[in-house]
Amino acid sequence: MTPTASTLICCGINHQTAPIELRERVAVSPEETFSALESITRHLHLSEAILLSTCNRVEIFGISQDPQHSAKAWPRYLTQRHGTDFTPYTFVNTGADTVIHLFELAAGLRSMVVGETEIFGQIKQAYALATAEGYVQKATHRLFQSAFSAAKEARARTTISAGNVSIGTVAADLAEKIFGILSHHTLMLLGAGEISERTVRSLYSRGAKKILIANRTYDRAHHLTKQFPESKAIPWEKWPSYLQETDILIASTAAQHHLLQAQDIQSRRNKPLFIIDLSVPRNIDPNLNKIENIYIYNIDDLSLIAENNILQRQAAIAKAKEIILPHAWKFLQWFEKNIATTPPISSLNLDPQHNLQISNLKS
Amino acid sequence: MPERCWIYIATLATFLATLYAARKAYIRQAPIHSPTLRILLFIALIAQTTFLHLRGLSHGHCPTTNPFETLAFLNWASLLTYQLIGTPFRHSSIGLMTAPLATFINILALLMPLDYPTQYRIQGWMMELHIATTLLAYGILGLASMAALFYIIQQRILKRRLISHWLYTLPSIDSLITAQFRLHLIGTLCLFIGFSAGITHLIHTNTPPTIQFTTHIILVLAFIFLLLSNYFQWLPRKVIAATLIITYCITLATINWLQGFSTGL
Repeated sequence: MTPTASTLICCGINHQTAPIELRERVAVSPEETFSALESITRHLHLSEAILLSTCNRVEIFGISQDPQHSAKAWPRYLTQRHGTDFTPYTFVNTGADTVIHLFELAAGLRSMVVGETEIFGQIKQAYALATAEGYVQKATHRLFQSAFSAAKEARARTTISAGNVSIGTVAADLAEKIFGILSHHTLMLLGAGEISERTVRSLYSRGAKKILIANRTYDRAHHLTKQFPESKAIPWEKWPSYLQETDILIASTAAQHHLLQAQDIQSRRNKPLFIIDLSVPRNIDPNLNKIENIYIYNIDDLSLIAENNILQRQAAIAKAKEIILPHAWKFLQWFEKNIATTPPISSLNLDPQHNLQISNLKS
Repeated sequence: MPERCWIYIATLATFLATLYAARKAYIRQAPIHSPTLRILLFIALIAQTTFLHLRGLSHGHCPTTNPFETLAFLNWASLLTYQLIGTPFRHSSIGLMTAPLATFINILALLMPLDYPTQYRIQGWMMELHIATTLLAYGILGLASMAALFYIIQQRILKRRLISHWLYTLPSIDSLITAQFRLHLIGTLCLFIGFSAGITHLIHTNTPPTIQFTTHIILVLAFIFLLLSNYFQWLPRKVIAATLIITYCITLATINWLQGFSTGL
């Protein structure tokens, strides 16, 4: 079959079409990628293919020798392989829809958490794996390179990836706002709950290596130190004596009273202290925030910042899409000139909105 | 080309640098690391230097005969500081402060009727050294005050939890504290050298101290006291930052009058 823009195809299953119970069944590990690519390209009649498998999606991008066959073969392939009818949970895009889907995906617009950056790395990895196995040719190479450029521009020119959207990363952002480089600073964790553990992990990933862990059960604290090399468990009774050297304090205990009083931190003078109070009822007296160089954030404060960041990202979606569209248009022009022969772009399978946007771009 | 045109060029360059930094900061939401910013401020420094050089040639001595020239000198000092010590030490955050400060001072100098001819009495090289070093010190202290202002703003935002995305474009509290201290230290050292040169000149010429001289001493002592307070933590950081800004504003407001001590006007 003569290649046309409509031979560009994307077959997938993702968080918008299928629940996690089904997604986890079709997920492909990096080790299985080669055999999966081999099998999918054979079943779907693809001449080029890139397989993207993450916790939220399994999608294959490629050039189909027979798009109609590929569209029908995709759910059939999954059903045969996994023994469940996947037809209602799959989707297929062709032509310009494939291009726009990939570009928006790379920019994080189609992610569960809009604007997240992990997907970009995952697409790059999928592209590298498929290239190494010889499944990437001229068309998909250009398609993915264009997607990377479009995604980079959309992220750079909008607030789509601005701010963090989880409590842990928001706390890490604030810690960096106060201390800059975290590797020189000491973090103390009081109590060892799930959220506090995640928060410590975020701070650890940003460079905070000197970690002191105090828990009423010493063994639990000691157990936690195994997750963070260079961290140290300290007996619960002794944590106040480490306060002088602490820069970031995370409180997450079940205590019904305030653990920290103003007199405990008077000797710090001008040394800043960032306190993250994740406990309910609060472990830290909120009035301590009145002391200079003491910054207290409780779980509500952090949640509010995260929610605002989500709203801000969502507000940037339209602008990011506007940025992506010319890239998609440019790629389709290139495809039409260098790969496809017929039909012209105007007759492609675009929805009315896309046709309108593209005709606007043309004019 | 008339001398003043060089100040127009410098102002344009610093204004473009301000816009560029603000735009970058807004879009990227992170501190700026950009060679473009440095190049724009370098162009401004060249233009500012050319102006001072041409004025110096026409006067035959240090061009600080009127407020316009004084402000041009101050700007030159802050632009020079940016190029010399800004690069190794968080070039981005210093740049963020330098560009708007330089634009503001130059626009102020250009708009106000400050460039009038005056009778200037040449008082020897020691006094020229005093003037040049003191103005250089005030330029550096201007940047230290900017760092202090950013510190106060950011501290207030963090305390009140008024977190918005533009907060992340500012340098961290820690780097602002360090920037403020280092610039304050270098500025005070330059001020001390300049002031020593002035006193030496007075001793050599048997000139009696004037009221400007006394005011100058008070300001120098105030800067030294604030520096020591910062180092030994005698006062809370916010108080030091606010007092540094106030002291600098007083210096800036009285700089032309203080200059009478140096120029004998």
